[in-house]
Amino acid sequence: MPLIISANFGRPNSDTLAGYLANGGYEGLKKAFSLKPGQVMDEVKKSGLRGRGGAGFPTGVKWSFLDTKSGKPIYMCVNADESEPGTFKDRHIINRDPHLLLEGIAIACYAVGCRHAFIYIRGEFFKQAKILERAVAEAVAGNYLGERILGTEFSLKVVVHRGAGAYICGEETGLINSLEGNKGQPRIKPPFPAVSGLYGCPTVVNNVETLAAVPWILRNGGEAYAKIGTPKSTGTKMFCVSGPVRNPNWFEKDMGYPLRDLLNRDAGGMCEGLKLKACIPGGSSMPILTADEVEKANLDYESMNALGSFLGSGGIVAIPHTFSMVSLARNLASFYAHESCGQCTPCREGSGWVHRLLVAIEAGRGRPGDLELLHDLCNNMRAWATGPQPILKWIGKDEGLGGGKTICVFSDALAWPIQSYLVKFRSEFEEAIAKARPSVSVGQVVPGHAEQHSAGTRAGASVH
Amino acid sequence: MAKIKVDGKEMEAPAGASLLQALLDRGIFVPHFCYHPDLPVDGNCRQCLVELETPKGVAGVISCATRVAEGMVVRTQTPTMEKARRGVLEFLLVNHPVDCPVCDQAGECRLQQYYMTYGFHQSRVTVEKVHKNKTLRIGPRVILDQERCVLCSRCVRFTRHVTKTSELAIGGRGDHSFITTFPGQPLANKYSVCTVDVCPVGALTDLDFRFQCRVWFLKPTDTICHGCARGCNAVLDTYSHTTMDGLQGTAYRLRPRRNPEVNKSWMCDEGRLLYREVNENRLREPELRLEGGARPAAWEEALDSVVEKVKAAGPAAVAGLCSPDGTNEDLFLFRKLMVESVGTELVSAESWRQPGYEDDILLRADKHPNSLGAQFLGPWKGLQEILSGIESGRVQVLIVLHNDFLGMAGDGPAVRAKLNTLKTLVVLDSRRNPTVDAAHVVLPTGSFAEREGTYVNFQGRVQRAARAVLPRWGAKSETEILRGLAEKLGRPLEGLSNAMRIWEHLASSVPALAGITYQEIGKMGCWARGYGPAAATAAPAAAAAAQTKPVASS
Repeated sequence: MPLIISANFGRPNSDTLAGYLANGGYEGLKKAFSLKPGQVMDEVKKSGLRGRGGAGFPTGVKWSFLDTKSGKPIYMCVNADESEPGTFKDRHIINRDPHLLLEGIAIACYAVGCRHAFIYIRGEFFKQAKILERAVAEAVAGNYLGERILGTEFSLKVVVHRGAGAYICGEETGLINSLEGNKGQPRIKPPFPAVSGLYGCPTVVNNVETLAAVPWILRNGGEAYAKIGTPKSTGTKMFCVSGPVRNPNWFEKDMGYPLRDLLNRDAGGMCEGLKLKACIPGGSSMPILTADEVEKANLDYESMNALGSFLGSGGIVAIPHTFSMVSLARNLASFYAHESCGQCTPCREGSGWVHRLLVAIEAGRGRPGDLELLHDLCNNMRAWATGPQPILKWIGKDEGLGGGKTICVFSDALAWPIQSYLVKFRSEFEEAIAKARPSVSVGQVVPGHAEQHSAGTRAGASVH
Repeated sequence: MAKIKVDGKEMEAPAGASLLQALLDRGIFVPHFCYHPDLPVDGNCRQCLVELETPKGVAGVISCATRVAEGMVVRTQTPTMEKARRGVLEFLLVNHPVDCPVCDQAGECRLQQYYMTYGFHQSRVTVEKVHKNKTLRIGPRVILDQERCVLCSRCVRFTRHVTKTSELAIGGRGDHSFITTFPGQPLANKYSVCTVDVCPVGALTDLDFRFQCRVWFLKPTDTICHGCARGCNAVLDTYSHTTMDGLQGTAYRLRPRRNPEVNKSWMCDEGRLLYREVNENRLREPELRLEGGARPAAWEEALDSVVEKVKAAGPAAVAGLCSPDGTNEDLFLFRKLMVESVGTELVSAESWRQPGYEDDILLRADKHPNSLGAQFLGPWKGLQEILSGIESGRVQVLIVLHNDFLGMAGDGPAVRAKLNTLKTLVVLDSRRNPTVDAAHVVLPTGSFAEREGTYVNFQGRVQRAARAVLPRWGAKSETEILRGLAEKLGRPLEGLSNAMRIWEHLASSVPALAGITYQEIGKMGCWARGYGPAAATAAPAAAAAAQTKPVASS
């Protein structure tokens, strides 16, 4: 099993140009320069590489959608706005191997004919932004970026741009708006960024991990990459395991690796005295898996869809049996209510309403009918309209069909997990409502909840 | 044109147009908040959801941002979509204060209308609402209530794309988002009240109209703003209810009426205040200020005294002065009276009003609503010619219709001195002004709201203003006064009893208006011969030359 992304992570000085070159750095770029841009794109298409940001769209195909006939410059935006709760893969790539990302960017830009790339990095990643800035300067000095790279006609300027810390700027059009200096709010599509993106020009937006896989593909060929993993989910993927496991960490695994093995073997299993109750499979936005489903789950796009969830960003959070699903739901809802950009009505008003309902239920102020209401509100928020709908596997009768409720899928990212908790762990919510005492005020400590609260702190702390 | 299928019915719609607009134009109503025909599509309210057949299956889409394409199959009435739209409406009401009884928008609020039409649900909100700021004075004319706001961003887009002043923005995130101005930069552009018009709810209210009258007591009348040569299409709201005696006929506001050719959906703040002319400073009855001091008079007596003076002076000693403020009909009738009934050729339509502010949105420097119409009805004599006639003693009677030349004269006292030799100054006007004050006979006419007639704006668009109320107090319409004078002079103006009749006569005598019927002008107006986009492409030079000719010069 080759390590494609994390091969250099443990090596000395892996974050410097010298360290990168010592391990065969920028060979992929040299290989790319020996090919025509179209051939580079074909190689990536052959590899079957799919976007690692969460949606899993084939990368080579995405590049080929770029409108090259408009006469406008083509821009590349590198999405380093990693904000999905439970996910910390891009941060580690930048920390330990920033030149891998830069080489991937250079190859991708060569393939699509882009002369100007922006790395949009999450505002909170202050250290990583510094690392990237230093790496860009090193690469320019070494002529791996900048004017006439390695003596070729190809020039590329890479700019590191820090975001202001909004989750929604990880959505590609929200990222573009933010990069332009506007409020970070997703745009209506069409037009898609491939036609009209940054400054109205054709733009490709790729995730850090996606681009980090590109140098290996060039060095070893797309076919070699396609042999790794499963037929439809090729290559390797970084997985981030958090929660009360013995060894919370990132792991690079072939696609199709069993989730059970990742949790029990690689992450060392649950901490002393804790049993696995449920597992968030791909970042907090994804429908939850029960302990039984974890046994059946393989870490690839198709297997996850078959279970009614998604591989997402690969942020895996183990939930122990002591942790209340009501608290988990409230915790997530508070995050999404805080991060909703506020543009579309259902998301803006719905996220806050769902949050306040869950706060009430958790605080013992739930009412009969609240669960049906929550479920219906989530139905009224969902945007995803067409194509395969994996959530139909568990949601029962789907009354949110039709979709189109919002511009982006942020509201689905709230509705999916909440609805999956409600369906799969309904008894916990019913108990909370049955135990409800009408006169509990906000902020009052409810006996029995203190324990759960400390478990919450633990789960949250291990993410960082 | 593309063939589309809506709710099972085949129809044609312009390819590439907004699906929502195409549906609305074809009488299929889909509720919406953020879509506005004269603003860029933003797609944030999600109220206009319809079902569309796509290659990947049936999908809910917002019709405003969907472009009409050949073969499109759309359904607006399915249970799924009705549930979806009800869901959106419910979300909009979650944090809305529902203070309709004290909200000034009640009666013309989309949230209220849609709730009564499509929602009518029991509230399911059991949690505390989000509270925001209320009664914020964000500009000299506009009050903001952030709680009532549905964050459709129409006002923000108006300031960003129409006035390009960008005073408004949405601050915050999620359900704590709010409309706001930047510190120290109030919403103070010349079109700020348009934000109140585009606001679909009671978040933005007009400081001038706020709490003055419930809108269901008001009667809307299609009119034309007479503030400048643009001639914005407008609606005048007047009190029409029978319960409050004495308020009937009172004008409350002037607001824009959409006309894509002239003013789109906009109107300037200054123009809106012209409704006050209907209520304030009005002349209520004829006045005589002849030998023996000023006194009110009956209409009969006032008209008789004018006729007596005219007859005594003889046709050659009478002059007439109207202005490009008048309707085509009034100017035509006035001229006919002077030339045919009185028998003088000395008739002027020159105005001394100074040019004012102009921009490339609506406002024109020429502050007369009918300069081009007056030009069509010319040639006229110059005002200076009349003044020298007065100075030389040749002119003894001057009849003035809507022309405050004394008020506008830069050298007022000098002009006034010239008038000393004038025996009789007859003034027809609706409001008190310096010229009225100097008059020997004052004949009160109705204000703009009390007359029907046509104006030609600077683009050459012929537009009709309807009469909102009957002449108030003791005033009479211009037509009635002029016809009364003609009759008493023994030369009645046959067949010119109302605006439509007068239009028929004047249109046949003016080449630029030839063949245009009163019906053809309609509510939206029509282009004068040789004007408008079609004529501009055919003979741009000729049209441009015609448009830049000075107004009613000597």
